[in-house]
Amino acid sequence: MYSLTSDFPVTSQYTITSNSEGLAVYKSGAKTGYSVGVIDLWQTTIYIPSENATLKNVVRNTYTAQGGDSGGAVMRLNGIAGIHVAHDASYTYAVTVSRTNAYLGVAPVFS
Amino acid sequence: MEIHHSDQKKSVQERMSELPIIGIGVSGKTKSLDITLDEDYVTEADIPKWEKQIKNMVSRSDVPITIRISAAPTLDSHTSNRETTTVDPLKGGASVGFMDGTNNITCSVGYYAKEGGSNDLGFVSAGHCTQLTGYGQTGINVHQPVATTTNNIAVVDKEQYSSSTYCDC
Repeated sequence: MYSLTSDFPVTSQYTITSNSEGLAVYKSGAKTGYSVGVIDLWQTTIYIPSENATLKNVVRNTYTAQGGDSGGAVMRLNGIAGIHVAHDASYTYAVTVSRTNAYLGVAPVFS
Repeated sequence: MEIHHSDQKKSVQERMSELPIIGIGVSGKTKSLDITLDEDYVTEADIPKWEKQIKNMVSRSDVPITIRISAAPTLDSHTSNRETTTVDPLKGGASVGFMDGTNNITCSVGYYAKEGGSNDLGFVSAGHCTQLTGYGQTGINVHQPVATTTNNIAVVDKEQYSSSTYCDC
Protein backbone atom coordinates (compact mmCIF):
# COMPACT_ATOMS: atom_id res chain seq x y z
CA MET A 1 0.00 0.00 0.00
CA TYR A 2 1.11 3.55 -0.63
CA SER A 3 0.60 6.08 2.12
CA LEU A 4 -0.48 9.44 0.86
CA THR A 5 1.91 12.20 1.86
CA SER A 6 -0.33 15.22 1.31
CA ASP A 7 -3.95 16.24 1.16
CA PHE A 8 -4.24 14.62 -2.25
CA PRO A 9 -7.87 13.49 -2.22
CA VAL A 10 -8.82 10.14 -3.66
CA THR A 11 -12.06 9.41 -5.47
CA SER A 12 -13.44 6.53 -7.50
CA GLN A 13 -14.17 6.80 -11.21
CA TYR A 14 -15.73 3.41 -11.70
CA THR A 15 -19.30 3.10 -12.91
CA ILE A 16 -20.46 -0.49 -12.56
CA THR A 17 -23.32 -1.71 -14.69
CA SER A 18 -25.06 -5.06 -15.12
CA ASN A 19 -23.86 -7.62 -17.62
CA SER A 20 -25.82 -10.64 -18.78
CA GLU A 21 -22.81 -12.96 -18.48
CA GLY A 22 -22.53 -12.25 -14.79
CA LEU A 23 -18.75 -12.49 -14.80
CA ALA A 24 -18.07 -9.07 -16.26
CA VAL A 25 -15.01 -7.19 -15.07
CA TYR A 26 -14.08 -3.57 -15.59
CA LYS A 27 -10.51 -2.36 -15.64
CA SER A 28 -9.14 1.17 -15.55
CA GLY A 29 -5.45 1.62 -16.30
CA ALA A 30 -3.21 4.53 -17.18
CA LYS A 31 -2.17 3.15 -20.58
CA THR A 32 -5.32 1.67 -22.12
CA GLY A 33 -7.94 3.35 -19.95
CA TYR A 34 -11.29 1.78 -19.23
CA SER A 35 -11.94 -1.69 -20.65
CA VAL A 36 -14.69 -4.26 -20.13
CA GLY A 37 -14.18 -8.03 -20.28
CA VAL A 38 -15.12 -11.24 -18.52
CA ILE A 39 -13.30 -13.51 -16.10
CA ASP A 40 -12.31 -16.47 -18.23
CA LEU A 41 -10.35 -18.62 -15.79
CA TRP A 42 -10.26 -18.89 -11.97
CA GLN A 43 -7.63 -20.02 -9.48
CA THR A 44 -4.93 -19.53 -12.01
CA THR A 45 -1.20 -19.83 -11.49
CA ILE A 46 0.97 -18.13 -14.10
CA TYR A 47 4.70 -18.24 -14.68
CA ILE A 48 6.47 -15.15 -16.03
CA PRO A 49 9.82 -16.29 -17.47
CA SER A 50 11.22 -12.78 -17.87
CA GLU A 51 10.95 -12.29 -14.11
CA ASN A 52 11.36 -15.94 -13.09
CA ALA A 53 8.22 -15.28 -11.06
CA THR A 54 5.23 -17.49 -10.31
CA LEU A 55 2.02 -15.74 -9.32
CA LYS A 56 -0.83 -17.63 -7.66
CA ASN A 57 -4.46 -16.65 -7.03
CA VAL A 58 -4.75 -14.96 -10.40
CA VAL A 59 -7.85 -14.56 -12.57
CA ARG A 60 -7.55 -14.62 -16.36
CA ASN A 61 -9.65 -12.04 -18.16
CA THR A 62 -10.58 -10.73 -21.60
CA TYR A 63 -10.33 -6.98 -21.02
CA THR A 64 -7.47 -5.18 -22.79
CA ALA A 65 -4.27 -3.96 -21.13
CA GLN A 66 -0.68 -2.99 -21.89
CA GLY A 67 2.46 -1.85 -20.11
CA GLY A 68 1.59 0.93 -17.68
CA ASP A 69 -1.75 -0.56 -16.66
CA SER A 70 -0.28 -2.60 -13.80
CA GLY A 71 -1.86 -1.66 -10.51
CA GLY A 72 -5.20 -0.68 -12.00
CA ALA A 73 -8.20 -2.08 -10.14
CA VAL A 74 -10.31 -4.75 -11.81
CA MET A 75 -13.91 -4.43 -10.65
CA ARG A 76 -16.93 -6.72 -10.55
CA LEU A 77 -20.52 -5.88 -9.74
CA ASN A 78 -20.03 -6.94 -6.14
CA GLY A 79 -16.71 -5.20 -5.57
CA ILE A 80 -13.07 -5.46 -6.46
CA ALA A 81 -11.99 -8.56 -8.37
CA GLY A 82 -8.27 -7.86 -8.33
CA ILE A 83 -5.31 -5.77 -9.37
CA HIS A 84 -4.17 -5.88 -12.98
CA VAL A 85 -0.61 -7.20 -13.35
CA ALA A 86 0.13 -8.85 -16.72
CA HIS A 87 -1.02 -9.88 -20.18
CA ASP A 88 -0.16 -12.33 -22.94
CA ALA A 89 -1.22 -12.46 -26.59
CA SER A 90 -4.82 -13.42 -25.79
CA TYR A 91 -5.62 -12.65 -22.15
CA THR A 92 -5.02 -10.30 -19.25
CA TYR A 93 -4.27 -11.28 -15.64
CA ALA A 94 -5.22 -9.81 -12.27
CA VAL A 95 -4.13 -10.92 -8.80
CA THR A 96 -7.19 -11.52 -6.65
CA VAL A 97 -7.79 -8.90 -4.05
CA SER A 98 -8.18 -11.25 -1.09
CA ARG A 99 -4.40 -11.58 -0.95
CA THR A 100 -4.15 -7.82 -0.73
CA ASN A 101 -6.77 -7.62 1.99
CA ALA A 102 -4.80 -10.07 4.10
CA TYR A 103 -2.20 -7.51 4.98
CA LEU A 104 -4.33 -4.40 4.71
CA GLY A 105 -6.51 -5.76 7.49
CA VAL A 106 -9.56 -3.89 6.29
CA ALA A 107 -11.79 -4.11 3.27
CA PRO A 108 -11.19 -1.60 0.50
CA VAL A 109 -13.48 1.40 0.62
CA PHE A 110 -15.03 3.53 -2.08
CA SER A 111 -15.81 7.20 -2.12
CA MET B 1 -5.70 -33.87 -7.15
CA GLU B 2 -3.60 -36.93 -6.45
CA ILE B 3 -0.45 -38.35 -7.91
CA HIS B 4 0.05 -41.79 -9.43
CA HIS B 5 2.07 -44.34 -7.52
CA SER B 6 5.50 -43.79 -9.03
CA ASP B 7 5.45 -40.08 -8.26
CA GLN B 8 3.81 -39.97 -4.88
CA LYS B 9 6.69 -38.03 -3.36
CA LYS B 10 6.24 -35.17 -5.78
CA SER B 11 3.36 -32.71 -5.72
CA VAL B 12 1.40 -31.93 -8.84
CA GLN B 13 3.01 -28.50 -8.82
CA GLU B 14 6.50 -30.02 -8.70
CA ARG B 15 5.70 -32.30 -11.61
CA MET B 16 4.10 -29.46 -13.52
CA SER B 17 7.20 -27.31 -13.05
CA GLU B 18 9.15 -29.86 -15.05
CA LEU B 19 6.94 -29.20 -18.07
CA PRO B 20 6.83 -26.03 -20.22
CA ILE B 21 3.71 -24.85 -18.40
CA ILE B 22 3.17 -21.10 -18.03
CA GLY B 23 -0.44 -21.17 -16.79
CA ILE B 24 -2.78 -23.47 -14.85
CA GLY B 25 -6.37 -22.66 -13.97
CA VAL B 26 -9.95 -23.82 -13.65
CA SER B 27 -12.51 -22.81 -16.23
CA GLY B 28 -15.76 -21.55 -14.80
CA LYS B 29 -17.60 -22.31 -18.03
CA THR B 30 -16.38 -25.78 -18.97
CA LYS B 31 -15.30 -26.94 -15.48
CA SER B 32 -12.08 -28.13 -17.06
CA LEU B 33 -8.45 -27.90 -16.05
CA ASP B 34 -6.95 -25.28 -18.34
CA ILE B 35 -3.24 -25.60 -19.11
CA THR B 36 -1.20 -23.04 -21.06
CA LEU B 37 2.08 -24.23 -22.58
CA ASP B 38 4.98 -22.02 -23.65
CA GLU B 39 5.06 -21.62 -27.44
CA ASP B 40 8.86 -21.51 -27.33
CA TYR B 41 8.91 -25.19 -26.42
CA VAL B 42 5.67 -26.71 -27.76
CA THR B 43 3.90 -26.93 -31.12
CA GLU B 44 0.27 -27.74 -31.90
CA ALA B 45 1.35 -31.19 -33.06
CA ASP B 46 2.71 -31.91 -29.59
CA ILE B 47 -0.60 -31.30 -27.79
CA PRO B 48 -1.82 -34.95 -27.70
CA LYS B 49 1.49 -36.00 -26.19
CA TRP B 50 1.35 -33.29 -23.52
CA GLU B 51 -2.31 -33.99 -22.78
CA LYS B 52 -1.51 -37.65 -22.16
CA GLN B 53 1.43 -36.75 -19.93
CA ILE B 54 -0.61 -34.29 -17.87
CA LYS B 55 -3.52 -36.73 -17.49
CA ASN B 56 -1.07 -39.34 -16.23
CA MET B 57 -0.15 -36.98 -13.41
CA VAL B 58 -3.73 -36.42 -12.31
CA SER B 59 -5.42 -39.43 -10.77
CA ARG B 60 -8.88 -38.34 -11.88
CA SER B 61 -8.64 -39.11 -15.57
CA ASP B 62 -12.23 -37.99 -16.08
CA VAL B 63 -11.26 -34.36 -15.45
CA PRO B 64 -11.44 -32.59 -18.81
CA ILE B 65 -8.25 -30.81 -19.80
CA THR B 66 -7.98 -27.88 -22.17
CA ILE B 67 -4.50 -27.13 -23.52
CA ARG B 68 -3.55 -23.78 -25.04
CA ILE B 69 -0.24 -22.70 -26.54
CA SER B 70 0.80 -19.09 -26.05
CA ALA B 71 3.67 -16.70 -25.65
CA ALA B 72 4.53 -16.22 -21.98
CA PRO B 73 2.77 -13.41 -20.11
CA THR B 74 4.64 -10.19 -19.32
CA LEU B 75 4.18 -7.77 -16.46
CA ASP B 76 2.44 -4.52 -17.37
CA SER B 77 4.67 -1.92 -15.78
CA HIS B 78 6.88 0.21 -18.03
CA THR B 79 9.96 2.37 -17.67
CA SER B 80 9.17 5.24 -20.02
CA ASN B 81 7.31 8.35 -18.92
CA ARG B 82 4.58 8.45 -21.54
CA GLU B 83 1.72 9.92 -19.55
CA THR B 84 1.46 13.68 -19.12
CA THR B 85 -1.86 14.33 -17.43
CA THR B 86 -1.93 15.17 -13.75
CA VAL B 87 -5.11 13.80 -12.15
CA ASP B 88 -6.31 15.79 -9.16
CA PRO B 89 -8.20 14.52 -7.24
CA LEU B 90 -6.42 11.21 -7.66
CA LYS B 91 -8.56 8.47 -9.24
CA GLY B 92 -8.32 4.77 -9.94
CA GLY B 93 -6.49 4.19 -13.21
CA ALA B 94 -4.39 7.36 -12.97
CA SER B 95 -0.73 7.08 -13.94
CA VAL B 96 1.84 7.06 -11.14
CA GLY B 97 5.62 6.86 -11.26
CA PHE B 98 7.72 5.02 -8.70
CA MET B 99 11.23 6.45 -8.27
CA ASP B 100 14.20 5.76 -6.01
CA GLY B 101 16.42 8.54 -7.37
CA THR B 102 17.99 6.46 -10.11
CA ASN B 103 15.39 4.05 -11.45
CA ASN B 104 11.73 4.55 -12.23
CA ILE B 105 8.67 2.52 -13.17
CA THR B 106 5.27 3.78 -14.27
CA CYS B 107 2.06 2.00 -13.29
CA SER B 108 -1.56 2.77 -12.36
CA VAL B 109 -3.47 3.65 -9.21
CA GLY B 110 -5.64 0.77 -8.03
CA TYR B 111 -8.10 1.66 -5.31
CA TYR B 112 -8.36 3.69 -2.18
CA ALA B 113 -7.77 1.81 1.08
CA LYS B 114 -6.95 2.12 4.75
CA GLU B 115 -4.23 0.12 6.42
CA GLY B 116 -5.35 -2.03 9.32
CA GLY B 117 -4.26 -0.79 12.74
CA SER B 118 -2.77 2.54 11.74
CA ASN B 119 -5.78 3.56 9.63
CA ASP B 120 -3.32 5.28 7.32
CA LEU B 121 -5.00 6.43 4.13
CA GLY B 122 -3.47 5.27 0.89
CA PHE B 123 -4.02 3.36 -2.29
CA VAL B 124 -3.17 -0.07 -3.66
CA SER B 125 -1.21 -0.77 -6.82
CA ALA B 126 0.72 -3.78 -8.14
CA GLY B 127 3.64 -5.06 -6.09
CA HIS B 128 6.03 -5.41 -9.00
CA CYS B 129 5.75 -1.68 -9.68
CA THR B 130 8.15 -1.13 -6.79
CA GLN B 131 10.78 -3.55 -8.10
CA LEU B 132 13.27 -0.86 -8.97
CA THR B 133 16.32 -2.76 -7.73
CA GLY B 134 14.95 -5.82 -5.93
CA TYR B 135 12.25 -7.45 -3.86
CA GLY B 136 10.65 -5.85 -0.83
CA GLN B 137 11.50 -2.23 -1.47
CA THR B 138 9.65 0.33 0.65
CA GLY B 139 10.14 4.04 1.14
CA ILE B 140 10.07 4.64 -2.59
CA ASN B 141 8.55 7.95 -3.63
CA VAL B 142 5.42 7.86 -5.75
CA HIS B 143 4.84 10.71 -8.18
CA GLN B 144 1.90 11.70 -10.35
CA PRO B 145 1.57 11.32 -13.30
CA VAL B 146 5.14 10.02 -13.79
CA ALA B 147 8.44 9.73 -11.94
CA THR B 148 9.88 13.24 -11.78
CA THR B 149 11.23 15.41 -9.01
CA THR B 150 7.85 17.10 -8.54
CA ASN B 151 4.38 16.16 -7.39
CA ASN B 152 5.39 13.50 -4.90
CA ILE B 153 2.02 12.17 -3.70
CA ALA B 154 2.88 9.08 -1.66
CA VAL B 155 5.51 6.75 -0.27
CA VAL B 156 5.53 2.97 -0.64
CA ASP B 157 4.59 1.51 2.72
CA LYS B 158 4.28 -2.22 2.06
CA GLU B 159 5.15 -4.47 -0.83
CA GLN B 160 4.32 -8.15 -1.19
CA TYR B 161 5.74 -9.10 -4.58
CA SER B 162 8.25 -11.91 -4.30
CA SER B 163 8.96 -15.39 -5.52
CA SER B 164 8.17 -16.78 -2.08
CA THR B 165 4.75 -15.21 -1.51
CA TYR B 166 3.59 -15.80 -5.10
CA CYS B 167 1.70 -12.55 -4.77
CA ASP B 168 1.93 -9.31 -6.74
CA CYS B 169 0.23 -6.92 -4.36
